[in-house]
Amino acid sequence: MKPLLKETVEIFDFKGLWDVHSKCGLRIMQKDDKYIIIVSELYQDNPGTSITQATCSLAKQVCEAYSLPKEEIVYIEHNPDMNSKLSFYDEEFYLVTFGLNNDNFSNPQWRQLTTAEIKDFFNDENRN
Amino acid sequence: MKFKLIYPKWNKLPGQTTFNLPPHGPVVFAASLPEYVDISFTDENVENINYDEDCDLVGISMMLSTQVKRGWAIAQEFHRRGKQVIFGGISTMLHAEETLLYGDSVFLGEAEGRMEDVLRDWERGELKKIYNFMNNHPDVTQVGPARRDLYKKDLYNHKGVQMVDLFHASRGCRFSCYPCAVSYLGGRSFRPRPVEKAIEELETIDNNRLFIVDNSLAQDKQWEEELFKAMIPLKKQWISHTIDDDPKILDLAAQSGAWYVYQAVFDTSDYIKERIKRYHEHGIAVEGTILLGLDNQTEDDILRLIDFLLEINLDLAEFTVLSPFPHTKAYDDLVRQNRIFDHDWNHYNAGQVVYQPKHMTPERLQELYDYAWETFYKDESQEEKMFKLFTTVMLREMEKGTYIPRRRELVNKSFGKDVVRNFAN
Repeated sequence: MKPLLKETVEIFDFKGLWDVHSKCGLRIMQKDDKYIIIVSELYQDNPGTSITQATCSLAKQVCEAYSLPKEEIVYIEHNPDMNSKLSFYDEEFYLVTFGLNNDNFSNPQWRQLTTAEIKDFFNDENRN
Repeated sequence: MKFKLIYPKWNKLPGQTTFNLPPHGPVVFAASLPEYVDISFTDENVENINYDEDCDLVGISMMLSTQVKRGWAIAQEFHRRGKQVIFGGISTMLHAEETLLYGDSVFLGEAEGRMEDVLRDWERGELKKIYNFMNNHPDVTQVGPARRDLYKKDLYNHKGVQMVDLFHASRGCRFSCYPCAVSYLGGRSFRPRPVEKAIEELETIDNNRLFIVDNSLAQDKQWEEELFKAMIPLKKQWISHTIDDDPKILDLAAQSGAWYVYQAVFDTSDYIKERIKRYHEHGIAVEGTILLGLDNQTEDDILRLIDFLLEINLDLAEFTVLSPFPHTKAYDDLVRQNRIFDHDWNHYNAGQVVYQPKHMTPERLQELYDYAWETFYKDESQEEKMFKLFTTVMLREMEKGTYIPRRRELVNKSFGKDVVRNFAN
């Protein structure tokens, strides 16, 4: 399948586990009163922690860097297509839901999004 | 200052030939300790720990996930005796949060150039809870030579035959392979040791047989070529993971004593078949490493793969099931899909299924894993195949004049224990 998300809007530098310097792709879209945050794994170009290992901390760092209200975000992890023969490196999107305690995200739960759900997000963006 | 360095034991996989190799991590770490430190090393796989030995500080070095629970228990024993414990090593880094609960201190990263400061903190009674040098790597020229003088060599001898010595020529990895955590542990850039430094260390090793433990030497052809060229005069025989599939490199590897390589066999393609053939054409034997349980494998795929292995003349095969080690993409994927059902690190031994496979039940994957071992070694056992490889190396050493006969005084010993011989009637 053709990758849905071809490029990231920016590279976001973040502190991974043990404060290791880490990088991810970042795209933020606004839809109604929600902020859709899409963080992309960079694999070899990420010197540190993966977006999934750092999920709660990364979500917090993005919200704080862009002054986004933590209650109003839709947070999506994106594994870009790596043009690999191995299916583990196909493009995937996961919606992550969190608890929010004392301003910190906790207890992440992941749900893989279908192609239709993802297309919905981008169609809406194109209409804006 | 007396430093007691411990390498915890782990349960070996049932049904497989057990060889205890001298562990590499602890002696590499020991080389980073200041000269004034008096080190006593215990590998619990081959000897018991003397908890009452006089010491000032205890270091626990862990490589495998299957060592961490034992390492934590050892720390508790020393705490009962009023000793402080610092943890380090690969699996300390993989399981750092939990290990923090059991250690007075946890060292993350590579130790070269760091330990003077750590020990100074300890002397002042100011040992930090965490020494975090993740991704803050020391200059690779500072690495080695490892303190192999700390080994009790006779404990790594099986019936008079000395086990291979371990050696590493590089750190880091530029690949991010699906089940592997090396790029997390050592960084995502390949950091080869200067060839002259590597050779300097190799010259100090009193063993003609080596295992070069780098997870892939095939990351910088020019360096690889220079390394192999420089190794030729040493007349060692060596085992390694993958090397470059290039006629010039393979030729130099053979000349420098490549004995056998571990090669991942991940499909039934002609590419794999040809690759193994090329190793063989250069006189290099191949131990196939076969990972079972990936999401792209159905039962039929696994059965076909096992049949394929029998056709391609592998010298040895090692089967594993996917173990989703923390800090790998495999772990991330399975966590997100809520498919990991067993979080007991003792079961993360690459032989036990701890997650829900995509195309079969965990029980069925476990059966296929057992079937793979049985089928591959049905006509010729693992011991027989190993003996063949051993014979090859002996003949080569005899040709080169480097062969050392087995030590007769140890023929009734295996890793320090008496050999029990069961003679038939």
